[in-house]
Amino acid sequence: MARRGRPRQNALPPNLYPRRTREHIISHLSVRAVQWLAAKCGFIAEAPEHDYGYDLYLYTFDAEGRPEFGTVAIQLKATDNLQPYRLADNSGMAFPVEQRHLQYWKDNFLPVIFILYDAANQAGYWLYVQRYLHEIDFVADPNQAFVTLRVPLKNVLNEAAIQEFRRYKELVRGRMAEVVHHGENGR
Amino acid sequence: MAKTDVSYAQFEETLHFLGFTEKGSADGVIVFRHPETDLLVAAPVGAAEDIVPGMYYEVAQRTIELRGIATRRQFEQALSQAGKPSRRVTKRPHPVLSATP
Repeated sequence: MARRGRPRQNALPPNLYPRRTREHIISHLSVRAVQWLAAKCGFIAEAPEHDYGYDLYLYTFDAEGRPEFGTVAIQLKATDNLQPYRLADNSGMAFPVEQRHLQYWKDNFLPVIFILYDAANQAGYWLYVQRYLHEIDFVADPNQAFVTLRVPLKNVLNEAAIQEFRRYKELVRGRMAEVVHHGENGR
Repeated sequence: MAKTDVSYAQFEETLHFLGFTEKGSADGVIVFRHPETDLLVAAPVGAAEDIVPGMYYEVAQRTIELRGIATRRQFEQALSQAGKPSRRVTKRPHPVLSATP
């Protein structure tokens, strides 16, 4: 039976109560930044109902407002200080990611976008993960726990970037349409 | 809501019930098409008894909902009836609902 009346006293020492950390705040800011840009494009960026290893799903709509195929899976990392990740030639950022995550993202046939969010400057930088892994000829190495992603400084997160993510997804849709066109037995 | 494990057999039957009558597979992907709306739903290929990876199930359900083919409740109701000899839900939802995002 439910306990009535005042909350139980001294259930936890005050220093053990949950606190909203800076990490929570910048993570929230990064989510909202993507959702804001998606909304400006007429799209939706939603947190998945269950945790499948992505922070947001981007659902896009055509010119008539009709929902389109699939989603773009977005993985966010937020930081207050981008400096430790900057490449020496200042062309971008290097960010270590667990290899098992990369393999999972690589296996996804929908586009996966990695976004590094600079909360201090309210700026984000993105990477199309599968294309990057293809370019570096990524092969999982059982002896390696982490792989470094190189996020170009020119890949600024803005409305054009969100439209670009949609374009990647629509390319996948084109391939899927081919599959269904060829019927039950495929090509 | 609790996470649900959905087999490929249930998933396919549910999609068929909702009007996804065209199907194809290639390169490790299975694709269903809803001819009335031209909506495509895709998942990695799996055996009938295998579980559809949660992400693809969730995206399919949400896309179908956004497209107005079936609400989440209708989708889950159809799913719960999949594999049963007689469906409690006998009428397919209207292809285009007024409920859009």
